[in-house]
Amino acid sequence: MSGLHEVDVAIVGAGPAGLAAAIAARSLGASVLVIDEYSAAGGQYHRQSARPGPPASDATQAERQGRALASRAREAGVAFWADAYVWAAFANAMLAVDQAGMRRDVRARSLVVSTGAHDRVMPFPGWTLPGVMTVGAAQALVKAHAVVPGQRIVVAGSGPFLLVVAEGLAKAGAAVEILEAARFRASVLATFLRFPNRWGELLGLLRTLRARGVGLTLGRVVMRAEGQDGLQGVVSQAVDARGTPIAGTVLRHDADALAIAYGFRTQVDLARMLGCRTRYDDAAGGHAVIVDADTGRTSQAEIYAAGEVTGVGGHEVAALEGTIAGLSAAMSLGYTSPAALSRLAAARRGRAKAQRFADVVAATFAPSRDLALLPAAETIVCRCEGVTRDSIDRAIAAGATTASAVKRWTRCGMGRCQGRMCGWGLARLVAARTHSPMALADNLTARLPLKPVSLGTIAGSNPPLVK
Amino acid sequence: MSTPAFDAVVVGAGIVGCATAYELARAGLSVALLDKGDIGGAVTGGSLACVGTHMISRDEIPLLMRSCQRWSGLENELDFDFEYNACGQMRFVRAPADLEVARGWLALEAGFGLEGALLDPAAVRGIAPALRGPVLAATWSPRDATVNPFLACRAFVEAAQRLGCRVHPGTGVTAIHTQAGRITGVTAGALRIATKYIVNAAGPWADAVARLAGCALPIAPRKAQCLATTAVAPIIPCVVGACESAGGVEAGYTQIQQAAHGQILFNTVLAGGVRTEARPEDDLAVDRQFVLDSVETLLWLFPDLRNVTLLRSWCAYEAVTPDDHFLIGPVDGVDGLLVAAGDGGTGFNRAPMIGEMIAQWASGNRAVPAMTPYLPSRFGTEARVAA
Ligand SMILES: Cc1cc2nc3c(=O)[nH]c(=O)nc-3n(C[C@H](O)[C@H](O)[C@H](O)COP(=O)(O)OP(=O)(O)OC[C@H]3O[C@@H](n4cnc5c(N)ncnc54)[C@H](O)[C@@H]3O)c2cc1C
Repeated sequence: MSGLHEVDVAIVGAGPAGLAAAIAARSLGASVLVIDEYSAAGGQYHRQSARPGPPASDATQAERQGRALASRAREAGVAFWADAYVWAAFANAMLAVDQAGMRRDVRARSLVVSTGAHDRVMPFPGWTLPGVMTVGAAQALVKAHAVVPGQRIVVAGSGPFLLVVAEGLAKAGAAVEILEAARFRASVLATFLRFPNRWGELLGLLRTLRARGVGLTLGRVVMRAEGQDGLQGVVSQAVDARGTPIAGTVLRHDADALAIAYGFRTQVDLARMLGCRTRYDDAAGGHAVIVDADTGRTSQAEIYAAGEVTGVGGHEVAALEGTIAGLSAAMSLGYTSPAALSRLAAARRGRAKAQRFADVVAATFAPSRDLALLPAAETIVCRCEGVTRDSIDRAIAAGATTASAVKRWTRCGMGRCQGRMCGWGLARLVAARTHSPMALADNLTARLPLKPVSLGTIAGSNPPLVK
Repeated sequence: MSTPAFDAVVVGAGIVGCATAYELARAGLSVALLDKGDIGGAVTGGSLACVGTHMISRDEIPLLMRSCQRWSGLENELDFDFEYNACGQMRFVRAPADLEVARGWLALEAGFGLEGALLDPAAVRGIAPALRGPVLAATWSPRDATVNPFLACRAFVEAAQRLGCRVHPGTGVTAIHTQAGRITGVTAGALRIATKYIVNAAGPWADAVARLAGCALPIAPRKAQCLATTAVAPIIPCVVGACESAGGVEAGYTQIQQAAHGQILFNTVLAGGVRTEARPEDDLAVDRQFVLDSVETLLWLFPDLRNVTLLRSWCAYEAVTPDDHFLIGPVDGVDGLLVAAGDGGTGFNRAPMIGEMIAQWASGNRAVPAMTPYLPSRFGTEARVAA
C-alpha cells in the first residue's frame, strides 16, 4: 500500500474549473495534485476521447480546448491521478482515494472541490427501455467508447448542453433531432444580445447542427418512450411557457435512441461531506456550495470550491472560478508572484460578467413544476430498487414528506447509484405532492463512500484489482 | 381559528414515539404524533433493529422477553410486513477471558428459561459457514430476531393513523404550555394543540424538550455509526456480535447482519471509541478510524467478503442515561408530562413494552408496576427543575 501522499493543493475533479485551478495554483509555485475518476482530464464539457493520440479531425471544439488545457497543466508540473475517485473525506482535508482498486490517502494543505454536476433526470413512461439514456451518457458513449448509440437519435430535455452533445452525435454519423422543453421569450433574446462574446460560440454550434441536418424544436417535452425490447419511438407534446402540455399537440418521432436530461444537478456530495455550507437554487442545479466570490473560499477553512458545485453556470464561469480558487488557495499558503494580484482581479471581473450571462441561461432553462406529472403510476422511478411512482405516492400519503423519508419507506434511492439517478425526480415528486419547496424536499444526504468501494481496497493490503 | 384538541401529544416519532402513539390510540385516546424531522428519521432510521434477549441487560430479561414475544406477533397485529426475521444471534469470543463471560450470560438467561448454547468453532460454521475467522467460540441465542427499522416504524404509524392518530412530520415542538403546574398544550411552529398529556419521546433531544416545560432530564447524546455493503447473495444467516469481557458499549461492540435485501450492515466500535461532545445535529460525519476498524473486523470474521463493495454509511445519536436504563413515566413537577426516552442503544428491544406502559398510565392506571424501575424520579431532583 502506498503511504500518505502530501501536497499543497489537491483538486478534485478535472473539468474546466479543476484544470484552471490547477494551472493557477501551480503557476504560483504550489505543488498540485488533480484527482479525477475519468481516464483523461477534461470533465464533462471537455469530454475527451479514450482513443490515444492526437484529437480526431472531427473532434468537437470543446474536446480540443480540453486537450490543450490538460497538456498545459501537465507541462506546468501538475500531478494527475486518473481513474481515481475520492470515496471519502475526513477531518483535516484527509482524502481517501480509490485508484483502480488501490487505496491511496491524500493530505492536502488546501483543497479545491470542483466535482461538477451530472444530468438531471425526470422519470417518464418508457424511460427504462434500452436505447433511452441521459445526455451525458450519450456523450460518454460517443467520446469515450466511440460508440454511436443509435442511427436516429432524439436529444431532449433542456439546456445548452443538448446542442453540444447533438453536435457530437451528428458528427459521429447519426440523424439527430433536438426537442428543447424551454420556450424563449423575446426578453431572453434581448438579454442574449447584450453578450456579444457568446454569439460566436452559439452561432458556430447552430451552424454545425444545421449543416448536419439537425432539427431543433423549442417548447416540446418527451412524454413517453415506446418500444418492445428496445426504443422504437418517442412521443412528445408541446408545452406552454409555464411548462404545461398543450392539448392536441402530440407528435410521434421515430427513434432508436433517446438522450434526455433537464440540465444539471450539482455534485456537492464531497463538499457537504467536508462540512461546506450550501444554499438551494433549483434553476442552478439544486444544492450549491456557498463561496466567497472573490476567493472561492467555502465556509470551511482551506477548502475552496469552483465550477458547477457553486451553482451550474457553464464552462466559462467554471474556468474563471477555477482560476480564482487556484490562485487564492496557493496565495493563502504563502505562494505568490508579481502578477498574481492583477490576474486575480482580471478573473474576478471576467467571472462577474460571465455569471450574469449564466444567470440568464439558468432562468431560461429552469425546470417547470409540471415535470413532476410525467411519471405514470406504474412508472419505475428508482431503477436500482425497482420502485414505482405509485409506491412513492403511498409512502407520501402515510407521512413521508421528504425525499429521505420516502427513501426509507420505499428504498427509492437506496441502491447502487445512491439516488444519483432518481434523487432529483423523487424530490420533484415529493415537492409537488406536499406543496413544499424543493429546498425542503430535496434532502438526501451524502455519506461515505461517495461511490461504492471494495472492502479489500479499504482494508488496503490487497493487490490492485481491475474493476 | 380554533385550537385542535387531543388527549395526548407524542413528541418524537422514533420507534418509541411511534409505538407509544399506536398504544395510546389503541387504548382509545385521541393522539397527535409530532416530529421535527422525518418519521423515524433520527437514530431509529439508522438502527440495526435487532430485537432479542441475549447479552443486553442483566436486570431486564423479563421485560425483554415480553417485548420479543410482542414483536413476533406485530406483523399480524399491525397488518404490515416489516421483515421480521427470527434469525438468531451469535456472539463470537475472541479472547480466552471472554469464555467465562459468555458462560455467565448463558447461565443467567437459562435461569429465565431462555434457550442458548456455547458453540465451538465447528458448530459456529455449521450455522454460518462463511464465518471462517479464528474465533475461539460463540454463544448462540436462537430466538433473537431482526426487523426492518424503517418499515417497523411505518407499520406503527399507519396502524396508529387507522385508529385516528394525526401525524405531523417536519413539525418540531417549540413551546410547551402549562397552567398551575398542569400541561395544557404545545406549540410546534404554526401548529397549536391543546392537550393534557405530553409524551416526550424525543430521544437524545429529550432534555431539550423537557426544558420547554421547565424540567431537566439526565439524558446525553452518544454517537453511533454504521456501514452497509451493496446487496449480495445470502451469506450471513444470523446476527453476529462480539462478546466483550468488560461489557457495555463503553468497552466497544461489533454487530453484523444481512438485511432482507442482501446488504450487509456492520459496525465495530473499539473500547473508548464512541465519546463525542457534539450535539446530535452538529457532527454527522462518519469517523475514519471507525470505518477502518469495522472493515477490519468484518473481514477478520468473513474473509470471503473482500471483494464486496461498501455502499453507504451513516451516523446517528442514541440517548444515554446515567444508569443506562430508559426513563419511562411521569416527570415530577409538571402534571401530565411523561417521558419515554434514554434508549442506551437498544430501544427497538423495548419499544412495544414502553408504549404499553405509557398507555396504561394515560388510561388512568397511575401505578404501573413494570414502570417502577424506569421512573425518572429515581434520579431525584436531577430530573426535576431546570437550572
Ligand atoms: C447502528 C445502530 C444499530 C442499532 N442497533 C440496535 C439493535 O440492534 N437493537 C436495538 O434495540 N436498538 C438498536 N439501535 C438503537 C435504536 O435505534 C434506538 O435505541 C431507538 O431507535 C431509539 O428510538 P427513539 O424513538 O427513542 O429515538 P429517536 O429515533 O431518536 O427518536 C426521537 C425523535 O424525536 C424527534 N424530536 C426531537 N426533538 C423534537 C422536537 N422538539 N419536536 C418534535 N420532535 C422532536 C427527533 O426528530 C426524532 O425523530 C441501534 C442504533 C444504531 C445507530
